[in-house]
Amino acid sequence: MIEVKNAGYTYEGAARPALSDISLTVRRGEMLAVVGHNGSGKSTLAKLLNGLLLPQSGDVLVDGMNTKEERLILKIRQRVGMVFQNPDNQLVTTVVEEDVAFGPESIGVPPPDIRKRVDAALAMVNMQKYADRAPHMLSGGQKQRVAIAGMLAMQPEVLVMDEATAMLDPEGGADILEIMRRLNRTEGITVVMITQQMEEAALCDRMVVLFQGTLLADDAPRKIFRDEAMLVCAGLNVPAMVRLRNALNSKGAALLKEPINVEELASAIAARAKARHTQ
Amino acid sequence: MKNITLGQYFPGNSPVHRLDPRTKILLMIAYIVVIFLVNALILYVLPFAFVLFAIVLSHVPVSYVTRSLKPLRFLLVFMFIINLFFTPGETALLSFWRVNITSEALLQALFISIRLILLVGGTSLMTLTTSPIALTDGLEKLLKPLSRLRFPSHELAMMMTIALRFIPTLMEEAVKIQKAQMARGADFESGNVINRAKSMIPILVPLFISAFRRADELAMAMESRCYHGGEGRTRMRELRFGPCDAVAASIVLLVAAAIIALQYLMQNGWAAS
Ligand SMILES: Nc1ncnc2c1ncn2[C@@H]1O[C@H](COP(=O)(O)OP(=O)(O)OP(=O)(O)O)[C@@H](O)[C@H]1O
Ligand SMILES: [Mg+2]
Repeated sequence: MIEVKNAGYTYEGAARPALSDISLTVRRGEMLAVVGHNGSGKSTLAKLLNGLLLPQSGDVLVDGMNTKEERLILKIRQRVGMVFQNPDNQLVTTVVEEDVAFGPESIGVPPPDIRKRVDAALAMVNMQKYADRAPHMLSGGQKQRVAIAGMLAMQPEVLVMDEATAMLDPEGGADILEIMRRLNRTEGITVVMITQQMEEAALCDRMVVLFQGTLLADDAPRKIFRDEAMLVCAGLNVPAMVRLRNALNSKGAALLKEPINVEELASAIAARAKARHTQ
Repeated sequence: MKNITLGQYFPGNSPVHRLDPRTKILLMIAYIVVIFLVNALILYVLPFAFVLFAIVLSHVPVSYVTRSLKPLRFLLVFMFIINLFFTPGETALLSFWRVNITSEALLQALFISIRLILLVGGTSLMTLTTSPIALTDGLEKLLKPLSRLRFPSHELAMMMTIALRFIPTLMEEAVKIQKAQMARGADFESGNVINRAKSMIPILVPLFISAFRRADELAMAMESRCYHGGEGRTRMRELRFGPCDAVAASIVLLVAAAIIALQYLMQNGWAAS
Protein backbone atom coordinates (compact mmCIF):
# COMPACT_ATOMS: atom_id res chain seq x y z
CA MET A 1 0.00 0.00 0.00
CA ILE A 2 2.54 2.58 1.16
CA GLU A 3 6.24 1.88 0.98
CA VAL A 4 8.78 4.11 2.66
CA LYS A 5 12.24 3.32 1.34
CA ASN A 6 15.30 4.62 3.18
CA ALA A 7 13.60 7.99 3.61
CA GLY A 8 15.42 10.86 5.29
CA TYR A 9 14.33 14.41 6.02
CA THR A 10 16.09 17.37 7.63
CA TYR A 11 14.26 20.65 8.25
CA GLU A 12 15.98 23.77 7.03
CA GLY A 13 18.28 25.12 9.70
CA ALA A 14 17.88 22.07 11.95
CA ALA A 15 21.00 20.62 13.54
CA ARG A 16 20.04 16.97 13.09
CA PRO A 17 17.74 15.15 10.71
CA ALA A 18 14.10 14.80 11.78
CA LEU A 19 14.06 11.40 10.06
CA SER A 20 16.98 9.33 8.87
CA ASP A 21 16.94 6.21 6.75
CA ILE A 22 13.42 5.07 7.55
CA SER A 23 12.13 1.97 5.80
CA LEU A 24 8.60 0.87 6.47
CA THR A 25 5.66 -0.73 4.72
CA VAL A 26 2.04 0.08 5.49
CA ARG A 27 0.03 -2.97 4.49
CA ARG A 28 -3.46 -2.83 3.04
CA GLY A 29 -6.21 -3.23 5.61
CA GLU A 30 -4.03 -3.11 8.69
CA MET A 31 -4.16 -0.79 11.64
CA LEU A 32 -0.66 0.47 12.26
CA ALA A 33 0.44 2.48 15.28
CA VAL A 34 3.38 4.87 15.10
CA VAL A 35 4.66 5.80 18.56
CA GLY A 36 7.51 7.99 19.72
CA HIS A 37 8.21 10.71 22.25
CA ASN A 38 7.93 14.43 21.45
CA GLY A 39 10.13 15.42 18.53
CA SER A 40 10.89 11.86 17.48
CA GLY A 41 9.71 12.58 13.94
CA LYS A 42 6.18 11.17 13.94
CA SER A 43 4.55 14.17 12.27
CA THR A 44 7.38 14.41 9.77
CA LEU A 45 6.79 10.77 8.84
CA ALA A 46 3.05 11.42 8.52
CA LYS A 47 3.69 14.33 6.15
CA LEU A 48 5.92 12.15 4.01
CA LEU A 49 3.09 9.65 3.56
CA ASN A 50 0.85 12.00 1.53
CA GLY A 51 3.52 14.14 -0.04
CA LEU A 52 3.11 17.21 2.16
CA LEU A 53 6.87 16.82 2.60
CA LEU A 54 9.13 15.08 0.10
CA PRO A 55 11.96 12.89 1.37
CA GLN A 56 15.39 14.41 0.74
CA SER A 57 16.85 10.95 0.48
CA GLY A 58 15.05 7.74 -0.37
CA ASP A 59 11.48 7.45 -1.69
CA VAL A 60 7.88 7.14 -0.58
CA LEU A 61 5.62 5.06 -2.83
CA VAL A 62 1.83 5.00 -2.52
CA ASP A 63 0.43 2.09 -4.53
CA GLY A 64 3.62 2.33 -6.53
CA MET A 65 3.26 6.09 -7.15
CA ASN A 66 6.25 8.12 -6.07
CA THR A 67 5.30 11.21 -4.03
CA LYS A 68 8.05 13.10 -5.82
CA GLU A 69 6.10 13.00 -9.07
CA GLU A 70 4.14 16.21 -9.12
CA ARG A 71 1.44 15.05 -11.52
CA LEU A 72 0.54 12.19 -9.19
CA ILE A 73 0.27 14.24 -6.03
CA LEU A 74 -3.50 14.79 -6.12
CA LYS A 75 -4.08 11.08 -6.70
CA ILE A 76 -1.80 10.26 -3.79
CA ARG A 77 -3.53 12.71 -1.46
CA GLN A 78 -6.92 11.39 -2.46
CA ARG A 79 -5.77 7.89 -1.43
CA VAL A 80 -3.97 8.89 1.74
CA GLY A 81 -6.20 11.00 3.97
CA MET A 82 -4.74 12.90 6.90
CA VAL A 83 -6.28 14.10 10.15
CA PHE A 84 -4.26 16.43 12.33
CA GLN A 85 -4.02 17.10 16.03
CA ASN A 86 -5.74 20.46 16.37
CA PRO A 87 -9.45 20.13 15.60
CA ASP A 88 -9.78 23.90 15.11
CA ASN A 89 -7.24 24.26 12.36
CA GLN A 90 -8.41 21.80 9.77
CA LEU A 91 -11.97 22.87 9.03
CA VAL A 92 -12.09 25.39 6.23
CA THR A 93 -15.65 26.57 5.75
CA THR A 94 -18.50 27.89 7.84
CA VAL A 95 -20.93 24.98 7.52
CA VAL A 96 -20.22 21.36 8.48
CA GLU A 97 -21.52 19.75 5.29
CA GLU A 98 -19.80 22.31 3.08
CA ASP A 99 -16.61 21.46 4.87
CA VAL A 100 -17.02 17.75 4.27
CA ALA A 101 -17.63 18.60 0.60
CA PHE A 102 -14.37 20.56 0.39
CA GLY A 103 -12.17 17.57 -0.57
CA PRO A 104 -14.48 16.10 -3.24
CA GLU A 105 -14.97 19.61 -4.66
CA SER A 106 -11.21 19.98 -4.95
CA ILE A 107 -10.86 16.79 -6.97
CA GLY A 108 -13.74 17.78 -9.24
CA VAL A 109 -16.37 15.20 -8.29
CA PRO A 110 -19.72 15.96 -10.04
CA PRO A 111 -22.17 17.79 -7.70
CA PRO A 112 -24.81 15.04 -7.25
CA ASP A 113 -22.06 12.57 -6.30
CA ILE A 114 -20.60 15.03 -3.80
CA ARG A 115 -23.98 15.19 -2.07
CA LYS A 116 -24.06 11.39 -1.75
CA ARG A 117 -20.51 11.19 -0.52
CA VAL A 118 -21.06 13.92 2.07
CA ASP A 119 -24.17 12.26 3.45
CA ALA A 120 -22.45 8.88 3.59
CA ALA A 121 -19.33 10.29 5.22
CA LEU A 122 -21.30 12.17 7.88
CA ALA A 123 -23.28 9.00 8.60
CA MET A 124 -20.07 7.00 9.05
CA VAL A 125 -18.98 9.31 11.88
CA ASN A 126 -22.49 9.81 13.30
CA MET A 127 -22.63 13.51 12.53
CA GLN A 128 -25.66 13.69 10.20
CA LYS A 129 -27.53 15.74 12.78
CA TYR A 130 -24.91 18.47 12.65
CA ALA A 131 -24.76 18.80 8.86
CA ASP A 132 -25.87 22.44 8.81
CA ARG A 133 -24.10 23.64 11.96
CA ALA A 134 -21.20 26.07 12.09
CA PRO A 135 -17.92 24.33 13.01
CA HIS A 136 -17.15 26.75 15.84
CA MET A 137 -20.30 25.62 17.66
CA LEU A 138 -19.08 22.01 17.89
CA SER A 139 -17.02 20.32 20.60
CA GLY A 140 -13.45 19.28 19.89
CA GLY A 141 -14.42 15.65 19.42
CA GLN A 142 -17.22 16.59 17.05
CA LYS A 143 -14.89 18.79 15.01
CA GLN A 144 -12.46 15.91 14.77
CA ARG A 145 -15.25 13.65 13.54
CA VAL A 146 -16.11 16.24 10.88
CA ALA A 147 -12.45 16.29 9.87
CA ILE A 148 -12.55 12.49 9.51
CA ALA A 149 -15.75 12.76 7.45
CA GLY A 150 -14.00 15.33 5.25
CA MET A 151 -11.37 12.72 4.51
CA LEU A 152 -13.84 9.85 4.09
CA ALA A 153 -15.69 11.89 1.46
CA MET A 154 -12.60 11.60 -0.72
CA GLN A 155 -12.91 7.81 -0.46
CA PRO A 156 -9.35 7.24 0.69
CA GLU A 157 -7.65 3.90 1.17
CA VAL A 158 -5.51 4.99 4.08
CA LEU A 159 -6.26 7.38 6.92
CA VAL A 160 -3.28 8.83 8.76
CA MET A 161 -4.26 10.16 12.19
CA ASP A 162 -1.53 12.45 13.54
CA GLU A 163 -2.27 12.45 17.28
CA ALA A 164 -5.87 13.14 16.38
CA THR A 165 -7.04 12.31 19.91
CA ALA A 166 -4.34 14.21 21.81
CA MET A 167 -6.31 17.45 22.28
CA LEU A 168 -9.63 15.80 23.13
CA ASP A 169 -11.14 14.84 26.45
CA PRO A 170 -10.95 11.09 27.22
CA GLU A 171 -14.49 10.46 26.06
CA GLY A 172 -14.01 12.30 22.76
CA GLY A 173 -10.74 10.47 22.23
CA ALA A 174 -12.33 7.09 22.88
CA ASP A 175 -15.10 7.92 20.37
CA ILE A 176 -12.55 8.72 17.67
CA LEU A 177 -10.65 5.52 18.39
CA GLU A 178 -13.83 3.49 18.19
CA ILE A 179 -14.76 5.10 14.87
CA MET A 180 -11.32 4.35 13.44
CA ARG A 181 -11.53 0.71 14.52
CA ARG A 182 -14.95 0.38 12.93
CA LEU A 183 -13.81 2.03 9.68
CA ASN A 184 -10.86 -0.34 9.63
CA ARG A 185 -12.95 -3.44 10.18
CA THR A 186 -16.10 -2.70 8.18
CA GLU A 187 -14.91 -0.33 5.45
CA GLY A 188 -11.50 -1.93 5.03
CA ILE A 189 -9.72 1.38 5.43
CA THR A 190 -6.06 1.11 6.34
CA VAL A 191 -5.35 3.20 9.44
CA VAL A 192 -2.08 4.71 10.58
CA MET A 193 -2.52 5.86 14.20
CA ILE A 194 0.20 8.22 15.30
CA THR A 195 0.07 8.44 19.05
CA GLN A 196 1.92 8.76 22.32
CA GLN A 197 -0.65 6.70 24.15
CA MET A 198 0.35 3.09 24.44
CA GLU A 199 -3.24 2.09 25.16
CA GLU A 200 -4.15 3.25 21.65
CA ALA A 201 -1.19 1.42 20.16
CA ALA A 202 -2.23 -1.75 21.99
CA LEU A 203 -5.44 -1.79 19.90
CA CYS A 204 -3.53 -1.83 16.62
CA ASP A 205 -2.33 -4.83 14.59
CA ARG A 206 1.23 -3.63 14.37
CA MET A 207 3.31 -0.83 15.83
CA VAL A 208 6.51 0.97 14.97
CA VAL A 209 8.60 2.89 17.47
CA LEU A 210 10.42 6.04 16.43
CA PHE A 211 13.30 7.47 18.39
CA GLN A 212 15.19 10.59 17.34
CA GLY A 213 14.25 10.09 13.72
CA THR A 214 15.17 6.42 13.50
CA LEU A 215 13.04 3.30 13.51
CA LEU A 216 13.64 1.41 16.74
CA ALA A 217 11.15 -1.41 16.40
CA ASP A 218 8.47 -2.69 14.05
CA ASP A 219 6.36 -5.58 15.30
CA ALA A 220 3.09 -6.67 16.86
CA PRO A 221 2.30 -4.58 19.97
CA ARG A 222 2.24 -7.73 22.11
CA LYS A 223 5.82 -8.49 21.15
CA ILE A 224 7.03 -4.92 21.49
CA PHE A 225 5.57 -4.64 24.98
CA ARG A 226 7.85 -7.52 26.05
CA ASP A 227 10.80 -5.18 25.78
CA GLU A 228 9.97 -2.59 28.38
CA ALA A 229 13.58 -1.43 28.59
CA MET A 230 13.64 -0.52 24.90
CA LEU A 231 10.42 1.51 25.21
CA VAL A 232 11.69 3.34 28.28
CA CYS A 233 14.87 4.07 26.37
CA ALA A 234 12.76 5.66 23.62
CA GLY A 235 11.08 7.89 26.19
CA LEU A 236 7.93 5.78 26.27
CA ASN A 237 6.39 3.18 28.50
CA VAL A 238 4.34 0.03 28.25
CA PRO A 239 0.57 0.30 28.82
CA ALA A 240 -0.59 0.24 32.43
CA MET A 241 -2.18 -3.17 31.86
CA VAL A 242 1.12 -4.63 30.72
CA ARG A 243 2.81 -3.20 33.79
CA LEU A 244 0.12 -4.77 35.94
CA ARG A 245 0.54 -8.07 34.12
CA ASN A 246 4.29 -7.99 34.64
CA ALA A 247 3.83 -7.16 38.31
CA LEU A 248 1.38 -10.04 38.71
CA ASN A 249 3.73 -12.40 36.89
CA SER A 250 6.67 -11.38 39.05
CA LYS A 251 4.56 -12.19 42.08
CA GLY A 252 4.06 -15.67 40.69
CA ALA A 253 0.61 -15.31 39.16
CA ALA A 254 1.85 -16.73 35.82
CA LEU A 255 -0.91 -15.46 33.53
CA LEU A 256 -1.36 -17.12 30.15
CA LYS A 257 -1.58 -15.49 26.68
CA GLU A 258 0.33 -12.26 27.43
CA PRO A 259 -2.63 -9.92 28.00
CA ILE A 260 -2.06 -6.29 26.89
CA ASN A 261 -5.39 -4.59 27.56
CA VAL A 262 -8.08 -4.52 30.23
CA GLU A 263 -10.25 -7.16 28.62
CA GLU A 264 -7.47 -9.62 27.96
CA LEU A 265 -6.02 -9.13 31.41
CA ALA A 266 -9.41 -9.65 33.01
CA SER A 267 -10.02 -12.89 31.15
CA ALA A 268 -6.49 -14.12 31.90
CA ILE A 269 -7.01 -13.50 35.61
CA ALA A 270 -10.47 -15.07 35.49
CA ALA A 271 -9.10 -18.10 33.66
CA ARG A 272 -6.43 -18.51 36.29
CA ALA A 273 -8.87 -18.16 39.14
CA LYS A 274 -11.09 -20.78 37.54
CA ALA A 275 -8.15 -23.11 37.03
CA ARG A 276 -7.25 -22.86 40.72
CA HIS A 277 -10.82 -23.44 41.69
CA THR A 278 -11.11 -26.68 39.77
CA GLN A 279 -7.80 -28.00 41.07
CA MET B 1 -19.16 34.09 22.94
CA LYS B 2 -20.01 30.76 21.38
CA ASN B 3 -22.96 31.96 19.39
CA ILE B 4 -21.45 34.75 17.37
CA THR B 5 -23.22 34.63 14.08
CA LEU B 6 -21.56 36.63 11.39
CA GLY B 7 -23.61 38.14 8.66
CA GLN B 8 -26.49 37.56 11.10
CA TYR B 9 -28.04 34.95 8.82
CA PHE B 10 -31.67 34.16 9.67
CA PRO B 11 -32.28 30.69 8.19
CA GLY B 12 -35.53 30.16 6.33
CA ASN B 13 -37.08 28.87 3.17
CA SER B 14 -39.00 31.87 1.89
CA PRO B 15 -38.96 33.01 -1.75
CA VAL B 16 -36.45 35.67 -0.70
CA HIS B 17 -34.17 33.05 0.86
CA ARG B 18 -34.44 30.87 -2.22
CA LEU B 19 -33.31 33.57 -4.64
CA ASP B 20 -29.95 32.94 -6.25
CA PRO B 21 -27.32 34.95 -4.36
CA ARG B 22 -26.16 36.43 -7.65
CA THR B 23 -29.63 37.84 -8.26
CA LYS B 24 -29.66 39.30 -4.78
CA ILE B 25 -26.26 40.94 -5.16
CA LEU B 26 -27.12 42.45 -8.55
CA LEU B 27 -30.55 43.65 -7.45
CA MET B 28 -28.98 45.12 -4.34
CA ILE B 29 -26.65 47.15 -6.52
CA ALA B 30 -29.61 48.36 -8.61
CA TYR B 31 -31.46 49.23 -5.40
CA ILE B 32 -28.52 51.25 -4.06
CA VAL B 33 -28.16 53.14 -7.32
CA VAL B 34 -31.87 53.99 -7.25
CA ILE B 35 -31.90 55.28 -3.69
CA PHE B 36 -28.99 57.56 -4.49
CA LEU B 37 -30.60 58.78 -7.70
CA VAL B 38 -33.88 59.79 -6.15
CA ASN B 39 -34.04 63.45 -5.20
CA ALA B 40 -37.68 63.97 -4.38
CA LEU B 41 -38.75 63.07 -0.87
CA ILE B 42 -42.11 61.71 -1.92
CA LEU B 43 -40.50 59.17 -4.23
CA TYR B 44 -38.81 57.42 -1.31
CA VAL B 45 -42.18 55.93 -0.55
CA LEU B 46 -41.52 53.41 -3.31
CA PRO B 47 -38.20 51.95 -2.07
CA PHE B 48 -39.63 51.94 1.45
CA ALA B 49 -42.65 49.99 0.27
CA PHE B 50 -40.36 47.68 -1.64
CA VAL B 51 -38.20 46.87 1.42
CA LEU B 52 -41.27 46.32 3.56
CA PHE B 53 -42.73 44.01 0.95
CA ALA B 54 -39.46 42.04 0.82
CA ILE B 55 -39.35 41.78 4.63
CA VAL B 56 -42.89 40.45 4.78
CA LEU B 57 -42.15 37.99 2.00
CA SER B 58 -38.97 36.75 3.73
CA HIS B 59 -40.68 36.00 7.09
CA VAL B 60 -37.75 37.72 8.82
CA PRO B 61 -39.09 39.55 11.89
CA VAL B 62 -39.00 43.32 11.32
CA SER B 63 -37.18 43.69 14.63
CA TYR B 64 -34.18 41.86 13.12
CA VAL B 65 -33.92 44.48 10.41
CA THR B 66 -34.38 47.42 12.76
CA ARG B 67 -31.80 45.90 15.09
CA SER B 68 -29.22 46.24 12.33
CA LEU B 69 -29.98 49.97 12.26
CA LYS B 70 -29.30 50.37 15.96
CA PRO B 71 -25.51 50.71 15.82
CA LEU B 72 -26.14 53.41 13.26
CA ARG B 73 -28.17 55.73 15.45
CA PHE B 74 -25.29 58.02 16.48
CA LEU B 75 -24.04 58.32 12.94
CA LEU B 76 -27.59 59.11 11.82
CA VAL B 77 -28.06 61.87 14.36
CA PHE B 78 -24.61 63.24 13.67
CA MET B 79 -25.12 63.33 9.91
CA PHE B 80 -28.52 64.85 10.32
CA ILE B 81 -27.22 67.68 12.53
CA ILE B 82 -24.16 68.38 10.41
CA ASN B 83 -26.25 68.63 7.30
CA LEU B 84 -28.93 70.64 9.01
CA PHE B 85 -26.53 73.30 10.23
CA PHE B 86 -23.90 73.42 7.59
CA THR B 87 -25.67 73.05 4.27
CA PRO B 88 -25.73 76.41 2.51
CA GLY B 89 -29.20 77.60 1.47
CA GLU B 90 -31.37 80.63 0.99
CA THR B 91 -34.86 80.05 2.32
CA ALA B 92 -34.45 80.50 6.04
CA LEU B 93 -36.76 78.42 8.19
CA LEU B 94 -35.48 79.26 11.58
CA SER B 95 -32.74 81.49 12.87
CA PHE B 96 -31.56 82.15 16.34
CA TRP B 97 -28.27 83.41 17.72
CA ARG B 98 -25.90 82.76 14.83
CA VAL B 99 -27.55 79.65 13.56
CA ASN B 100 -29.58 79.62 10.40
CA ILE B 101 -31.57 76.63 9.40
CA THR B 102 -32.68 76.75 5.83
CA SER B 103 -35.24 74.60 4.13
CA GLU B 104 -32.55 73.37 1.72
CA ALA B 105 -30.52 72.20 4.68
CA LEU B 106 -33.48 70.45 6.24
CA LEU B 107 -34.18 68.71 2.97
CA GLN B 108 -30.55 67.67 2.60
CA ALA B 109 -30.46 66.32 6.16
CA LEU B 110 -33.62 64.33 5.54
CA PHE B 111 -32.24 62.92 2.31
CA ILE B 112 -29.04 61.76 3.94
CA SER B 113 -30.88 60.07 6.79
CA ILE B 114 -33.41 58.35 4.61
CA ARG B 115 -30.76 57.12 2.22
CA LEU B 116 -28.67 55.74 5.07
CA ILE B 117 -31.64 53.96 6.61
CA LEU B 118 -32.71 52.47 3.29
CA LEU B 119 -29.17 51.47 2.48
CA VAL B 120 -28.51 49.64 5.73
CA GLY B 121 -32.02 48.23 6.00
CA GLY B 122 -31.89 46.84 2.49
CA THR B 123 -28.41 45.35 2.71
CA SER B 124 -29.08 43.80 6.09
CA LEU B 125 -32.20 42.17 4.69
CA MET B 126 -29.90 40.62 2.12
CA THR B 127 -27.42 39.29 4.70
CA LEU B 128 -30.31 38.09 6.86
CA THR B 129 -31.71 35.99 4.04
CA THR B 130 -28.47 34.79 2.44
CA SER B 131 -26.02 32.45 4.17
CA PRO B 132 -22.41 33.70 4.14
CA ILE B 133 -21.42 30.73 2.04
CA ALA B 134 -24.06 31.53 -0.59
CA LEU B 135 -22.96 35.14 -0.56
CA THR B 136 -19.30 34.31 -1.18
CA ASP B 137 -20.32 31.76 -3.83
CA GLY B 138 -22.42 34.37 -5.59
CA LEU B 139 -19.66 36.92 -5.43
CA GLU B 140 -17.16 34.43 -6.81
CA LYS B 141 -19.43 33.56 -9.72
CA LEU B 142 -20.17 37.20 -10.49
CA LEU B 143 -16.50 38.13 -10.48
CA LYS B 144 -15.54 35.08 -12.51
CA PRO B 145 -15.42 36.91 -15.86
CA LEU B 146 -12.81 39.20 -14.34
CA SER B 147 -10.46 36.29 -13.67
CA ARG B 148 -9.59 36.41 -17.37
CA LEU B 149 -7.97 39.70 -16.48
CA ARG B 150 -6.13 37.90 -13.69
CA PHE B 151 -8.54 39.12 -11.06
CA PRO B 152 -8.33 36.53 -8.22
CA SER B 153 -12.09 35.91 -7.86
CA HIS B 154 -11.79 32.38 -6.46
CA GLU B 155 -9.03 33.35 -4.06
CA LEU B 156 -11.04 36.33 -2.85
CA ALA B 157 -14.07 34.13 -2.12
CA MET B 158 -11.84 31.54 -0.39
CA MET B 159 -10.30 34.25 1.77
CA MET B 160 -13.72 35.54 2.77
CA THR B 161 -14.85 32.03 3.66
CA ILE B 162 -11.77 31.36 5.78
CA ALA B 163 -12.12 34.73 7.49
CA LEU B 164 -15.76 34.00 8.33
CA ARG B 165 -14.77 30.56 9.60
CA PHE B 166 -11.96 31.82 11.84
CA ILE B 167 -13.26 35.11 13.22
CA PRO B 168 -15.28 33.37 15.98
CA THR B 169 -12.35 31.07 16.78
CA LEU B 170 -9.93 33.98 17.07
CA MET B 171 -12.38 36.03 19.12
CA GLU B 172 -12.74 33.18 21.56
CA GLU B 173 -8.99 32.91 21.76
CA ALA B 174 -8.59 36.66 22.33
CA VAL B 175 -10.94 36.44 25.30
CA LYS B 176 -9.00 33.47 26.67
CA ILE B 177 -5.70 35.31 26.37
CA GLN B 178 -7.16 38.41 27.97
CA LYS B 179 -8.39 36.38 30.91
CA ALA B 180 -5.01 34.72 31.24
CA GLN B 181 -3.28 38.11 31.26
CA MET B 182 -5.77 39.45 33.78
CA ALA B 183 -5.05 36.47 36.02
CA ARG B 184 -1.42 37.59 35.94
CA GLY B 185 -2.42 41.06 37.04
CA ALA B 186 -2.74 42.86 33.72
CA ASP B 187 -5.06 45.82 33.79
CA PHE B 188 -7.26 46.53 30.77
CA GLU B 189 -9.73 48.97 32.23
CA SER B 190 -8.00 51.94 33.79
CA GLY B 191 -5.76 54.65 32.38
CA ASN B 192 -6.08 56.90 29.40
CA VAL B 193 -6.55 55.88 25.80
CA ILE B 194 -2.84 55.39 25.16
CA ASN B 195 -2.36 53.22 28.23
CA ARG B 196 -5.32 51.12 27.31
CA ALA B 197 -4.07 50.71 23.78
CA LYS B 198 -0.70 49.67 25.18
CA SER B 199 -2.32 47.09 27.41
CA MET B 200 -3.72 45.42 24.27
CA ILE B 201 -0.22 44.51 23.09
CA PRO B 202 0.11 41.45 25.35
CA ILE B 203 -3.13 40.19 23.80
CA LEU B 204 -2.35 40.98 20.20
CA VAL B 205 1.13 39.48 20.10
CA PRO B 206 0.14 35.95 21.19
CA LEU B 207 -3.00 36.19 19.08
CA PHE B 208 -0.98 36.98 15.97
CA ILE B 209 1.53 34.24 16.67
CA SER B 210 -1.24 31.72 17.07
CA ALA B 211 -3.01 32.99 13.95
CA PHE B 212 0.13 32.34 11.91
CA ARG B 213 0.42 28.85 13.36
CA ARG B 214 -3.22 28.22 12.55
CA ALA B 215 -2.73 29.47 9.01
CA ASP B 216 0.19 27.11 8.56
CA GLU B 217 -1.77 24.11 9.83
CA LEU B 218 -4.86 25.06 7.84
CA ALA B 219 -2.77 25.25 4.67
CA MET B 220 -1.52 21.70 5.35
CA ALA B 221 -5.05 20.47 5.99
CA MET B 222 -6.28 22.11 2.77
CA GLU B 223 -3.45 20.61 0.76
CA SER B 224 -4.17 17.20 2.27
CA ARG B 225 -7.68 17.59 0.91
CA CYS B 226 -6.29 18.10 -2.58
CA TYR B 227 -6.92 21.84 -2.63
CA HIS B 228 -5.10 23.35 -5.58
CA GLY B 229 -6.89 26.61 -6.34
CA GLY B 230 -10.08 27.23 -8.26
CA GLU B 231 -9.09 25.27 -11.34
CA GLY B 232 -11.10 22.10 -11.94
CA ARG B 233 -13.07 22.69 -8.79
CA THR B 234 -16.73 21.64 -8.61
CA ARG B 235 -19.32 22.71 -6.06
CA MET B 236 -21.73 20.54 -4.11
CA ARG B 237 -24.40 23.23 -4.33
CA GLU B 238 -24.55 24.68 -7.79
CA LEU B 239 -26.04 28.09 -8.22
CA ARG B 240 -28.99 28.03 -10.56
CA PHE B 241 -31.36 30.78 -11.62
CA GLY B 242 -35.00 29.85 -11.16
CA PRO B 243 -38.41 31.41 -11.88
CA CYS B 244 -38.18 33.27 -8.57
CA ASP B 245 -35.13 35.11 -9.84
CA ALA B 246 -36.92 36.30 -12.96
CA VAL B 247 -39.89 37.51 -10.89
CA ALA B 248 -37.65 39.33 -8.40
CA ALA B 249 -35.63 40.96 -11.15
CA SER B 250 -38.79 42.10 -12.92
CA ILE B 251 -40.21 43.61 -9.73
CA VAL B 252 -37.04 45.50 -8.90
CA LEU B 253 -36.54 46.73 -12.42
CA LEU B 254 -40.18 47.84 -12.68
CA VAL B 255 -40.00 49.74 -9.42
CA ALA B 256 -36.71 51.30 -10.50
CA ALA B 257 -38.14 52.27 -13.86
CA ALA B 258 -41.24 53.74 -12.20
CA ILE B 259 -39.12 55.80 -9.84
CA ILE B 260 -36.90 57.13 -12.59
CA ALA B 261 -39.89 57.94 -14.81
CA LEU B 262 -41.70 59.73 -11.98
CA GLN B 263 -38.60 61.66 -11.14
CA TYR B 264 -38.20 62.72 -14.75
CA LEU B 265 -41.81 63.85 -14.90
CA MET B 266 -41.55 65.80 -11.66
CA GLN B 267 -38.44 67.59 -12.83
CA ASN B 268 -39.72 68.44 -16.25
CA GLY B 269 -43.22 69.24 -15.16
CA TRP B 270 -46.32 67.18 -15.83
CA ALA B 271 -47.33 69.50 -18.59
CA ALA B 272 -44.24 68.90 -20.68
CA SER B 273 -45.05 65.26 -21.17
N1 LIG C 1 8.94 23.25 10.66
C1 LIG C 1 10.03 22.80 11.30
N2 LIG C 1 11.21 23.45 11.19
C2 LIG C 1 12.31 23.01 11.83
N3 LIG C 1 12.35 21.92 12.60
C3 LIG C 1 11.22 21.21 12.76
C4 LIG C 1 10.00 21.61 12.12
N4 LIG C 1 9.04 20.74 12.47
C5 LIG C 1 9.63 19.83 13.27
N5 LIG C 1 10.93 20.11 13.45
C6 LIG C 1 11.89 19.31 14.23
O1 LIG C 1 11.94 18.01 13.68
C7 LIG C 1 11.94 17.03 14.69
C8 LIG C 1 10.77 16.09 14.50
O2 LIG C 1 9.56 16.78 14.63
P1 LIG C 1 8.13 16.12 14.51
O3 LIG C 1 7.15 17.23 14.51
O4 LIG C 1 8.14 15.22 13.34
O5 LIG C 1 8.05 15.30 15.84
P2 LIG C 1 6.80 14.59 16.51
O6 LIG C 1 7.22 13.22 16.85
O7 LIG C 1 5.61 14.75 15.67
O8 LIG C 1 6.62 15.42 17.85
P3 LIG C 1 5.30 15.74 18.67
O9 LIG C 1 5.03 14.53 19.48
O10 LIG C 1 5.68 16.91 19.51
O11 LIG C 1 4.21 16.06 17.69
C9 LIG C 1 11.89 17.78 16.01
O12 LIG C 1 13.21 17.84 16.52
C10 LIG C 1 11.42 19.15 15.65
O13 LIG C 1 11.98 20.11 16.49
MG1 LIG D 1 3.64 15.68 15.92
